[in-house]
Amino acid sequence: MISSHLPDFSMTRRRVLTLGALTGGLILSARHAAAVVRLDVTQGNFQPLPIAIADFMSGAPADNDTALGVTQIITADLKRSGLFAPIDPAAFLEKITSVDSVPHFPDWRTINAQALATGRVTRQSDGRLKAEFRLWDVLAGQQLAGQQYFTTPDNWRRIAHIISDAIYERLTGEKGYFDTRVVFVDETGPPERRVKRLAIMDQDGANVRYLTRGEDLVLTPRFSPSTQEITYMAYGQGDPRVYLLNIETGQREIVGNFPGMSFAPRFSPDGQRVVMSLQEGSNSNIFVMDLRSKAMTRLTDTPAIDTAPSYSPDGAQICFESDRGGHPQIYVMAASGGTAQRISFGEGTHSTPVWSPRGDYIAFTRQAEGKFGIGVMKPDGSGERILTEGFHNEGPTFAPNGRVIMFFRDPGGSAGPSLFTIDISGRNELRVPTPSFASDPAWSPLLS
Amino acid sequence: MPIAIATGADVSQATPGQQNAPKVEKPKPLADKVGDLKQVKQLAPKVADKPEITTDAAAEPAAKPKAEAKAEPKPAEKAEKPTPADLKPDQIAEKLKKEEAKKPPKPEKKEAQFKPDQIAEELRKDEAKKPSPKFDANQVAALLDKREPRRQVAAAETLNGAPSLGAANGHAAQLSQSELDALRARLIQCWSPPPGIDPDSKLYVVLHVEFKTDGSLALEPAVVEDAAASLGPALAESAKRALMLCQPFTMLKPEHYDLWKNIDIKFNNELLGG
Repeated sequence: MISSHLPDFSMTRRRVLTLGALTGGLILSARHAAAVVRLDVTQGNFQPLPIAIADFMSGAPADNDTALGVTQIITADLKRSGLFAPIDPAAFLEKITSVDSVPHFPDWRTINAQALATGRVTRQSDGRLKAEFRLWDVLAGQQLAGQQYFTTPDNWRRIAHIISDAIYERLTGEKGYFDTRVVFVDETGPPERRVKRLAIMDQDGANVRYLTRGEDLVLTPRFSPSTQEITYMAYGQGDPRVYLLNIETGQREIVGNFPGMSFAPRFSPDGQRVVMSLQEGSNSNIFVMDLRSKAMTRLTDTPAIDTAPSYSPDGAQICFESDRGGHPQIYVMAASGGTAQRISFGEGTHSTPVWSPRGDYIAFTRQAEGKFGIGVMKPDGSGERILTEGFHNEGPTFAPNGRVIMFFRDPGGSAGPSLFTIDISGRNELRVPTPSFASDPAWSPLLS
Repeated sequence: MPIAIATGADVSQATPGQQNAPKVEKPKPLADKVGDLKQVKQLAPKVADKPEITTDAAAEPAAKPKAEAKAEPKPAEKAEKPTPADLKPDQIAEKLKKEEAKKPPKPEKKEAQFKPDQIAEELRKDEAKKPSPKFDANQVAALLDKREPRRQVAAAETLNGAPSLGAANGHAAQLSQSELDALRARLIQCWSPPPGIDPDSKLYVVLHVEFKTDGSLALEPAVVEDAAASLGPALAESAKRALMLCQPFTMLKPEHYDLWKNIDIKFNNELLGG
């Protein structure tokens, strides 16, 4: 109970009158000083962004084909991402004739474009190719981005992908993934005598190159994060070997001769170490090897099968698959080893975990009730979502921006596996074109 | 300590109106169109003639036993009027057996001769045999109030859009919730949020929007508040695009312009579907 000295206050008539007038005055002023109305919009309605990609101009008739090719690659990249809806050029009202002049925005608003990309390709006198573009906000009527690039003429596809990445990043706020490559295992021949060759291609399926000849069985290629190197496992005449291959030079080095290895190693984010699983008798454990010193360190020591390790993007943790609890599930532990925490508790078994380069998800293969699915969960195990299910789906790999996952699907029977991509939201599942059957994809970091 | 107590009478006397205040015009009634003032019908409770209720239950007159069994009040629209229900038990039993449903007799007029047990027995038999009657919405419609709707377009000699007491340019006390809801619904339709945002991240942006009288934007919306994050600019841009794309916002009424001229709109994708 609060007690305070009451003021010597007599409620005289005069005072009451004053009080009444004051209160009335306050109420009046409150009504006139109207507060700004506040509205909360707590959901939206995601739609791919309608974008117009005007035909890139060419500096000279000799560059016409290149300009057309660049336009087509940008259109295909953005459309395939599922986040953009390129408008049919037949609907365009204005013909862009200069990359330097401001477009007539009402013409583009009429066809419902929200963004417009224009550009030009010009062969320079020194033989280099110059490519430039401008990105316009049609609704606000202003330029959003503009850039020019110089490269060798045969690199024109990469320039187109780089421009796609620039447009993607400016409009979504996230880094793109178009200037990347995918290494995979190309499979040909009948199921009982499949010839498996290591192959590499641009993420859109172009520029396929074979890296091995097919005498050895090759498995699980992986990209180095910082250099143009890949590791892969090859079963030759003797024991399986882990190779380190430089894509640019073709130089091949044996990382180690590890009997009983079932998965090729994965690189640490700084590219200095590789983590792998080694079979010891009836179980397998996780080891890390320093690439310079070749020193090996044991990380797990359990009478279980611990395999398929993958680093977190900050290099501080490793997720891996273990059946120490009875069935294959996903565990997380510090990169230096120690106690492992189980994070997968959903239905079925969980295997082949891979940490997103963005750090926000771990993708995995799940097997439940005879179906295989590709899913994601947060690194603490919450928010498990299956993105695709049904056939034999396996081996997820993340695009460098963590928004798209590639995996392979084997329908079984006489047909062979194929590569697919899917958005992290579960939308937009697409088949990746390959010359023949394909499996075990690994996505490179951004090349630039 | 002297305490002066002010009574209610004192207070009302102390704050009277001015004796010689200027006369205020008597407020005209709301008029949306020019015409003769229509008198609003009196609401004298009148029992409307009830049509025969026929239900789908073929076997027994299902409606009747229900009406009798329940001594509950009938739907509010029906004005209760006691009918002289001089019904004897055997007459009721007869009626119960008949196919057609009758006007439900009013419970309060039940006479002492009624034997509740007998009725209850009959009812139990009937209840057991009859299939549950299908709910026929049309029948309910027939029971509804047949009086004309009261609010019509008000007519008077001159147009007057201000129905309230007070100043000639007065407006309703607040922007109606339905206008705001309609604006919100439109923005939900038009806003395509960046798909990369984690719904748990609590990422949001508040834009200050200034409108013209026709509901279009007066100038580019400005960010007044946002949660610092790498996707913040993309979120702000997507919100601005939604506003620019879907203007003019015609659901906002011109007579309330002063109230919606400036709105702070917060965009956050909490209910992200995927």
